[in-house]
Amino acid sequence: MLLISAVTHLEAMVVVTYYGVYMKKNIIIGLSIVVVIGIFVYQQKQSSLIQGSPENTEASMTDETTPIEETATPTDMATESAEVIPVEDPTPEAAGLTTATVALHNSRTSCWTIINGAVYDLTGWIPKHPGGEQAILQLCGIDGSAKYNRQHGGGKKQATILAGFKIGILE
Amino acid sequence: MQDQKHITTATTVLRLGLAVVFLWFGFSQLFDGVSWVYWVPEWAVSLFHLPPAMIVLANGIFEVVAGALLAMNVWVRPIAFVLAVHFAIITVDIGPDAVGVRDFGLTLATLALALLNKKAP
Repeated sequence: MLLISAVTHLEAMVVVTYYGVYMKKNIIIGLSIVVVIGIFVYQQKQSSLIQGSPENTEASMTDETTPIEETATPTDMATESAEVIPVEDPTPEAAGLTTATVALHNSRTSCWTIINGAVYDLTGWIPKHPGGEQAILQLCGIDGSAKYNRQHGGGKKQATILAGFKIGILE
Repeated sequence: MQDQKHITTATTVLRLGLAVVFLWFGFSQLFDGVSWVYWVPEWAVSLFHLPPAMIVLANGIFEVVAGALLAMNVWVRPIAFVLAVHFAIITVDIGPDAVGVRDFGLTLATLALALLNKKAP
């Protein structure tokens, strides 16, 4: 009886030990994956910031010139940013973009702005701007170059996002 | 016995593959949140009453934690189920385009992990 009890306890200890080792192995493997992926993504981000020229950055985002209709989620943006697709005029009005045309789109429901010679439809960005809606609303229908450059001039991330809203060049 | 071994191996491959996917996107949202802000759906902003940047940050943390738990083989079934629901919401939000179909596949793969995984030994 004592022998059976001892064997049972021994078996239980073996199982517990095996389970403990198994768990430790999984946790070590898992944490290694977390660290490797974290470092990889961080370095990838850093290298894209260093190597990405403004021209490339803008070109890479031109496939998203109709942001309101775009349905992609965050998972798409990073994976597809390397694709370069030529800009097509997203709206009939894009062919004749003048200051007067832009001035007509001066509301929350249709907010166009001119930044550094290009025209952007920022309507879909109004509720999403991290700095608040007012910062975008004040640009609707006017040349927002000065305000943009003062706030975000030289910012690659901001330029990348802005490029996604481009609808044409000011005539 | 052999079948069980194959299932265990397949589940491990599926688990680690999905863990890498969620970790990659989670870290990407943490390190480059600004690029993701635009993609936050309007209904999420209304629902959580949080700025889009905060939603991106929270989502990034959630995906990193969930991905790490998958990688470590901890609470795999409930985590995979929650992630499947998470992915299903994204898929519905995207709609039936090429990206949506891809995410639909990932949703079902995550759901399969939730249904398959039986913690070994």
